[in-house]
Amino acid sequence: MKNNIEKINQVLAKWDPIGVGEDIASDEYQGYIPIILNSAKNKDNLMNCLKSIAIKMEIGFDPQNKEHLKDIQQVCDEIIKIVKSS
Amino acid sequence: MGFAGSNNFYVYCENDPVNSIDPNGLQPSLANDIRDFFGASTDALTTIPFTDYSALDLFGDYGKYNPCSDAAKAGSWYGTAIGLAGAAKSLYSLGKGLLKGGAKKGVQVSESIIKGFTGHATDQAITRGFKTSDILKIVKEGKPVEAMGRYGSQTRYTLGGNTVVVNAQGKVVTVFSNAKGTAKGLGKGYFIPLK
Repeated sequence: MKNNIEKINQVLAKWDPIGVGEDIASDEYQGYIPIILNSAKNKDNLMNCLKSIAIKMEIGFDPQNKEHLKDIQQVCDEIIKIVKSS
Repeated sequence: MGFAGSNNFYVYCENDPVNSIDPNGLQPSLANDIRDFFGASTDALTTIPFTDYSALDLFGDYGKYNPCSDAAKAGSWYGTAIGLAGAAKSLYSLGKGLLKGGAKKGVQVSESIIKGFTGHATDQAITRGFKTSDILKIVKEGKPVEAMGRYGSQTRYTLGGNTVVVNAQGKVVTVFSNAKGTAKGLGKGYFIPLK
């Protein structure tokens, strides 16, 4: 589990939706890990969770924007992969 | 013939024969009353500071008047009342103007730059020890840099190693510093006290 948390944190830091930079990013999104882990049992749930996180951050994420959705989809896939491999 | 003004037979026009007339010996003319009333009004009004002196135009210039007449006494009260009302109005306008100016400055700072905090920013501010006053100081005195985030534009204000990220709508998105923290990463990004 600890390994999964670290890996998910790395994915979130790489995603860095706010754009704080690599150094801070590893610390910036840790608070979302529990809710992500909780939603990661189902891909749709996880997508909705990630979209919700991005919308609530008010960083310009548009759920209707295909590019934005594609971006989130990648993050979602990586997290699902981590959870399934454990 | 009566003695309305005085019982003294030698008094003519209330002892003011120069400025008054009393052809039938009953009382000084209405013209004298008007002159006394507005003359005294003018004098009374001009003693009130901050008043609106435009009222003097209404009173007119009646020159010398009898300050002891009843009309003058009434005029004095009238002038004082008008003067005080004018002063109150002027001071109210002054105060309102000052308040408006003060509020405008405050609004300029809060409304033009920061319009709120996102939940994420609030969480990070609490975790990293940024007080609202610190954030305002960074935004007001810090160096602004326009940047493009992953999904939209933002402005980053930096001061003393601290950064406040504000989105295009003016909401604070996150706060952090370049503090390295401990070897285990504890305290990383925490607020660096401003000098």
